[in-house]
Amino acid sequence: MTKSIAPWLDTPLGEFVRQARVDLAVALEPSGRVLAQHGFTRSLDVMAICSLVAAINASATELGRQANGEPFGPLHHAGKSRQVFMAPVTVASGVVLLLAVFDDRTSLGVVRHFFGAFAGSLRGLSNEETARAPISGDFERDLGRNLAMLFGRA
Amino acid sequence: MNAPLRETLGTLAALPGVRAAVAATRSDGMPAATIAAVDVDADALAAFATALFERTTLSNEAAGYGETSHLSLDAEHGRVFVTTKGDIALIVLAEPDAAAGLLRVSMQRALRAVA
Repeated sequence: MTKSIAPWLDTPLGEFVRQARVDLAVALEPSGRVLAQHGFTRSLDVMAICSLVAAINASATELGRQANGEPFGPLHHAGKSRQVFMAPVTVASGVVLLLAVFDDRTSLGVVRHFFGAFAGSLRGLSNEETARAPISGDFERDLGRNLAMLFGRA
Repeated sequence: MNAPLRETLGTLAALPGVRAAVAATRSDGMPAATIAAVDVDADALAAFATALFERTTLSNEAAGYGETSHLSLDAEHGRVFVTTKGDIALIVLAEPDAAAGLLRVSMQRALRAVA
């Protein structure tokens, strides 16, 4: 089930998960603040993954700037039984990162295709529609509050 | 795209009624080389044709029909053909009236040339 603290992500993320047949998906800000998740049952997992994705994105963005003149785009890692796909989407209010975990029930080509649809639907939203609560300055408190909302403890 | 692969796809694409010829990796559905009409989304074609082939392969195995080597799908406005060897998939998108027999033989020949 898709859960979010950003209602404008509910439908696009839910559609992405259903159509691309991914197991897990997380949408987050580049800061690591979680916006929506699908498939996770433990908040600790989401917290760890958001931290890692934010770090990977920061590294890839800077490495891309230095080596390529602009940030690198989507990233894919294939493991023995599971794969991850991570990509940024620029929306009216900033950047949203998407991480998807999938197995051999789908393929990278299919995930990439439906990521394109997901990104397209977000790009069509206005600044007001994608507005988020500002970061209070206390990252841990924000993170804790968002995780509590996602896992029904708020 | 290397020359033999370009020549192979070019031969397939030149057959009557063919709108796209794509070489893709079967496991991840990513196109490696494409010759297609401008309105054909080759990325989507590679992704869905290989996914369909994988599902069909699993169905045939479950039914005890053995290995799947060729898939043909007819729709109202077109036909899709997929043939594979190892991790290479050749995909052809064609008009509804394209000659299926000729395409099948040509694809098998093309696969032997590139695999």
